[in-house]
Amino acid sequence: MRIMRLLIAALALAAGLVAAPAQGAILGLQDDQLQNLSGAALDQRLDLLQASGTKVTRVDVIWKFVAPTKPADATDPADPAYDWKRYDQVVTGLVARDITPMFTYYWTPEWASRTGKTNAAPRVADAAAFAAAIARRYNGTWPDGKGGTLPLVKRIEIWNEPNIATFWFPQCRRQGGRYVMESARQYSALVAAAYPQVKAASPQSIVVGGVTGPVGSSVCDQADSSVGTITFAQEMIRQRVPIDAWSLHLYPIGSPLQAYFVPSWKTIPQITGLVDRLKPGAPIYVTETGYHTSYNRYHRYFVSEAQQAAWLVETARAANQYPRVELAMWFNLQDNPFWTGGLRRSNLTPKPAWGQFKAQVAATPRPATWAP
Amino acid sequence: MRHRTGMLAAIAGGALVLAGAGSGAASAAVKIGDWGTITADMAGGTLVWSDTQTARTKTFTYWRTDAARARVSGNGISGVTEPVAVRTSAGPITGAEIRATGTARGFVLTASGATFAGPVSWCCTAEAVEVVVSSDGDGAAPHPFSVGLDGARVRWIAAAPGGAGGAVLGSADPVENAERATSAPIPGRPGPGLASVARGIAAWADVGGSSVRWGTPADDGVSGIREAAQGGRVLAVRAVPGFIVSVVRAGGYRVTRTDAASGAVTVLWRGSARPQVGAGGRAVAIGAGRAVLTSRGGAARKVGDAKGPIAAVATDGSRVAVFERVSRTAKVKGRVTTVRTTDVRIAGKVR
Repeated sequence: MRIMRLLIAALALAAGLVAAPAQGAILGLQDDQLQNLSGAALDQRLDLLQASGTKVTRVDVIWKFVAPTKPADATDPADPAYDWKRYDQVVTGLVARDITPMFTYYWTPEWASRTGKTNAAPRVADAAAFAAAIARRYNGTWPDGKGGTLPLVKRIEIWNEPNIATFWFPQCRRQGGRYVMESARQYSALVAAAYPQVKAASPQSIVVGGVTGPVGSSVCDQADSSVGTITFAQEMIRQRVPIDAWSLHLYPIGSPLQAYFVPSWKTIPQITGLVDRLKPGAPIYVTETGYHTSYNRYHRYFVSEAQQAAWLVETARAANQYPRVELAMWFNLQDNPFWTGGLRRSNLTPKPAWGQFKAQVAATPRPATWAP
Repeated sequence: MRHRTGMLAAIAGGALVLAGAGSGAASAAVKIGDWGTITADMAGGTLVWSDTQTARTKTFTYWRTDAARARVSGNGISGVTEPVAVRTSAGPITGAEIRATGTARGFVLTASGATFAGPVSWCCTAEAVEVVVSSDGDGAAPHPFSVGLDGARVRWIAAAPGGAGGAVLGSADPVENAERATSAPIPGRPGPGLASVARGIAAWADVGGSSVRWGTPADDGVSGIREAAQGGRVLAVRAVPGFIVSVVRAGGYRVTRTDAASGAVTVLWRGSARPQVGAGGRAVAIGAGRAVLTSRGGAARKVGDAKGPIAAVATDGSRVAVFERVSRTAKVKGRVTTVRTTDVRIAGKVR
């Protein structure tokens, strides 16, 4: 069985269906503030991101910001209901600085929300159409209004952490007196619907599925339970969801090379086996990872600043142990009260990890398949 | 800004409360797994405790403090929840403290170590969400090791590691992103277990010192500071409105009560082993070996016995909760093994 999988993977690579694994995993850096800035403030922030040396970053496309009202034709990025201004600036600024952006889109607008809340599981048709609009606008041919074209954004993650109620509600629903898992089935439907539309709008695009948050076990005992990474993947396999790449988030307890709880770096082989059942040989992107340097209620495990720096280096080593892992994205550039895993403190002074990050990215060139 | 409630429990391991938990009928006892370091307090019909343990996994070790709260009615404990959990690899947690706020089953918690400044948390909003009042990962940040609610302000006493830079009184509103956070210096060199804050009072002793200082806390520091000799080296300090309880080493051990108004020091108990103390209302609870004692101002009187060595005691002024170390043999995965628990129960009434 294992030989068969390897053969399938090799054939897939030979046919150019999936990207060849990089020599070493790319270490990227996300800045979750990019989409909140504009003008000179955005330029300064992009300069800071560039100063980190990162060659790849991840940009949150907040659906409710782009589409505050319902578009008449949701697949058409030119629909007047859409406001892409901030993302045009972010993407153009990143590419001008030789940083490759990838997108993740989430947060349901009120008009598309069943509950009125932004974490509501979206209607599949609406969310898939929005994915198509993103892909079309950033397929490398869309006019930028200045005589040129907007850059290509090749990789699009479908949603963010759909296995956690904070981003996708409900996770479970009551059926016959007990709760049953709902999110993975709904999410699978979204990816299945989005995939062909994204491909039609941007044939070069890489549709990234999963995007699972760091949940180990699945406990479906209320609507806002969480679904484990492995369980979520297994359900997507059952639904035969089309993907080009798989992504997941790792925030291990313990060092990258020692931690073994699901999900952690040591569980990548198990995840790779599951991904092969969805798409043989598909690359794996760890689109969020990191260590917090003080306690916050969204992530209650923390390390010292010196440990964070040392474990950033170990993160790169851990990623390089698994050839299928193409990307490890550090989250985040800067601390805020709810997220203290930044390479810089909330006052923007650098932590020791900032210097380590620069050294690591300098040692791992970006492969051509990831060029902007 | 990302909001990520929900993932923590899943990645941070299970709750430590083994039995007697849940929101059902009151139970005579609650069992906490293993023999962690316990701090406890009781007020307003709520018992709160923090359980600090070393978490040894197959490949590495980290440290954890779990904070729990439960309703107390009669001699029963019910509705145990663990709304706050601190996990770290930065070093052992040696400075955890929890205080009940007396309203809405609230508490304030801090959990620092010798090598890191831990958080100060207030629990909880109406939605049962904790508020992190202070959390600083900077290596030079003062380490909080005592915390209390003083009116509408959360206050804590913190000190730089090794005493460099002196001690401070921190204050903040129990709301997220509190903008009115303040920090004011206080005299002396207190350490973990040697400081305490409650409504209208802050008290502390220097590491290795033989006297207790106290005064009225405010955002700009502690005013009206007074000092009283305790007759020996002060090992622990606990302040409640109106008085301070100290554990003192003077040949043997003694528990003293210092009246905040008069400064008079009364010896409540003497013994040969270090006792656990709690205070609430107008009462003091003492756990000495397996004996549970209480005092309303005079010599402590025995109110009960524990089933094992006492890890902590708490009182709301009328009842006494005891945390007792218990071990028993049990079959786990087919093997007979010794299971250690810390059992929590209401041991009696204050006399």
